[in-house]
Amino acid sequence: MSDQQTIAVKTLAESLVDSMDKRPLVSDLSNESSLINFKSSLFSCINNNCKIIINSNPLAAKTFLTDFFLKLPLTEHTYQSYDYHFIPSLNLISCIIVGKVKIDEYPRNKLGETADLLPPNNNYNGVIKERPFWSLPFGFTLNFVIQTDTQDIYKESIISFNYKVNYIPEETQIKV
Amino acid sequence: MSYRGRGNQHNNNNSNYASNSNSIGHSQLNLVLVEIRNWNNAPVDNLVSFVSRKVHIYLINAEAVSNNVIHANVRSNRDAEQLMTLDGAKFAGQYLKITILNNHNNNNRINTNNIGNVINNTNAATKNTIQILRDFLKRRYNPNEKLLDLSNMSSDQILVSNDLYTTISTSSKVFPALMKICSEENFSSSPSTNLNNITNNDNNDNNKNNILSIDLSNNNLDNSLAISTLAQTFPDLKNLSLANNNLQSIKSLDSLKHKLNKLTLLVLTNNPIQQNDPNSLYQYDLLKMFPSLLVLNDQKIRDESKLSQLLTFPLLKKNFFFENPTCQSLSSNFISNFLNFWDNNRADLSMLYTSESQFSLSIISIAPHKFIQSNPTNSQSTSLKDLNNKPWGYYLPISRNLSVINSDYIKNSRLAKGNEQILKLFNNLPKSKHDLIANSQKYSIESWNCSNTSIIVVLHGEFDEIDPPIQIAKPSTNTSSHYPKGHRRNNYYNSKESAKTSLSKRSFDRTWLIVPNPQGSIIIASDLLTIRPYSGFDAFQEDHSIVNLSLNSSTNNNTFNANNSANIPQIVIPPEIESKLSPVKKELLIRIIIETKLNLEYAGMLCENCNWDYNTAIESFKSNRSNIPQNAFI
Repeated sequence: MSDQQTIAVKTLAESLVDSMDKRPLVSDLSNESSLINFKSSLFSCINNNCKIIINSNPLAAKTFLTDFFLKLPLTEHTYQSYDYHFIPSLNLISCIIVGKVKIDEYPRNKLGETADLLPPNNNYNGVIKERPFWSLPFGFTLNFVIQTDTQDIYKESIISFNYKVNYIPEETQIKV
Repeated sequence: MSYRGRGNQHNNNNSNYASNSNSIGHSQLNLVLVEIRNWNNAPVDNLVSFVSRKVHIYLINAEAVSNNVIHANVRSNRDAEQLMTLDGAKFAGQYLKITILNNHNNNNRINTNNIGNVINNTNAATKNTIQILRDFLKRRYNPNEKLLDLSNMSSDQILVSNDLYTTISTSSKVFPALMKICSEENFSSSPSTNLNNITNNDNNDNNKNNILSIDLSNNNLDNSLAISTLAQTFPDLKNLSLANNNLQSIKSLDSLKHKLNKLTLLVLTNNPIQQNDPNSLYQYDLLKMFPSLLVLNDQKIRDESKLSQLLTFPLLKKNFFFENPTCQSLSSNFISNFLNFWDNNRADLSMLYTSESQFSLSIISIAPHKFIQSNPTNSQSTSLKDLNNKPWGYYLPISRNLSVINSDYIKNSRLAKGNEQILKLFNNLPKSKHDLIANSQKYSIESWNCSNTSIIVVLHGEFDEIDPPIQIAKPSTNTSSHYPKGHRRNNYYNSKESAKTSLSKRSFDRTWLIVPNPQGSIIIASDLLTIRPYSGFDAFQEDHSIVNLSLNSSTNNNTFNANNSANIPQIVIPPEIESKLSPVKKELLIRIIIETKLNLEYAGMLCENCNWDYNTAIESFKSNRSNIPQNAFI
């Protein structure tokens, strides 16, 4: 178990969690190319041919993984445990992360879409700037597999990504 | 806000606790009585210190009136309001519920007052008052509409004739007392509702369903503080009328903020708030205060379907996924055989591991919120709490949770490599029983090809520990990182009896990376197991009622290439083209190919013609679809 592997796993895990929680800036939302730029910056460690499964639903492409997390309200993932195995004969690292995720219960997704019907009011400090109204924590498990025989292990090296909500709190507005 | 009490749980029934503050002189003050619930994971003194530290308020004469309830006084209404900011704050693993029981009681604890006596005293006058209020509720409850009409209470002849609205002091106590009775009564939606029998059962859950609307109009309310107990008694309330009151500004509703999260209709007509805010900015604040609010007065302020969509995961909840029939049969057989051996004879599993195989275990010992809260009236939650109070002593000395382990030595020593080490580690784990065959809804299985030669199999679920391990692992001596923070290094199991009582039900996540060989057998290359406190199986139960699919997932068929994505091959952009594309253009091109199913050439042409603008490209595609030749598609 080398230090480099540990650092790589930790860095990639943090990168994934960061991508799952990140939201575009307000300025990105008003400009299509900025938004596409923003989206392409997410999950940069995931290979384009990666097998992606969310809550036992396979997704056809990385784009949908990005869309999935952007269509959720604000999220905050924290991991409580992680572990990994390096399998030299297959040039793979298999990782598991288990943790908690808080979800904003205000009906607004990361792209700023709300259900509000009130007209925008310039005198009002827009709701998108408001701090989140966090749910009680959900539980999640994230499995991912890293291909180690690539030129750059930090870029498009993840060939399998599996995210599962493993626990739903009792009092929440969010339906999984 | 979060605070974890350090003391043991105390049951301080009938004990009178004084706060650290000197109560001399309070006799001259207008004390306000408050009730605090869910404190009992720590001593009362810790709660008093916690409140003092967080909001600089001293709880005077804090007294445990039952296992889970404390009554105390604070010096003024202002202090009471300040204290309410701790409502919902985490203390010793639970979330505090704070209620203001009365205002200005002139230093008489509420138990010297008839209405306040709802909780404690049982003298004749009190019983009479309770009966009056109960009758009032009975008269005002409409079971057909699930409506509790509490409008214009000060004009109610019976309440007035019984002196309940004679002074400000008594009238201010009527509403909290009504809420207290509501929380103890069972409101049935049947017209033959009988409110005459007081039960000690917690009927809050029933009332959540049987009272969906409350009318509080015409009560001269100038602040929601007086009705703050409403949210605790009816957190699932759908409709609320506060019309014809005296609410001046949005701040008047502060004590209901984020407390009525299912409220869809609010009526505020004929309150000064409308005249005081000519730009109607308060409406925007209301959206924030009540996240489900759809209608304000008679105006729709949120779109219901959009609201539902935003608060729903954009994918169906499923508990099984197999990429193809081969994966399905292979992983199903593998898991059923594996668990059979795991539960009955782990030594036989050695044939699945080679000298290169790896196994490790990670422990998470902190239970989710739902399973640490104790409700004395709910035996199920109590037993769940007990379940997750069981120690983790068998596991912690072998846990390789890298988020809490820093030492390289520990990291390496807790990774079992090869059959021999793996079996040794297996023997350190309690004997278990999985119930996959009989209760498959409690489990989730996923399986797919990871590389050309390997398959991933993932299992989430639960197991019962039925016997202590064959061999109990001992903590090694050269490290301080055996235990997660907060764990004491106790000698947990020094007798067979204590070892037995430590057994529990646990949840787990397990990921195998397996390699099938041509002979039909398989080898486990990697086996990662995470064990966590029992947290139920709600997350695995499929819910077909939610239809909110907005992603291109293959939901009807468990393969990556099914349904909408059926004919989408792996999108490979030739390097000579890719090198000319910026990341933005590349992403757009892939998206266009996936969504239109145009081949690379035509998708590229479409993007070029539309100046790489997504919306224009999609619009153009839709309007010209009938003119596009068949060979333009994948």
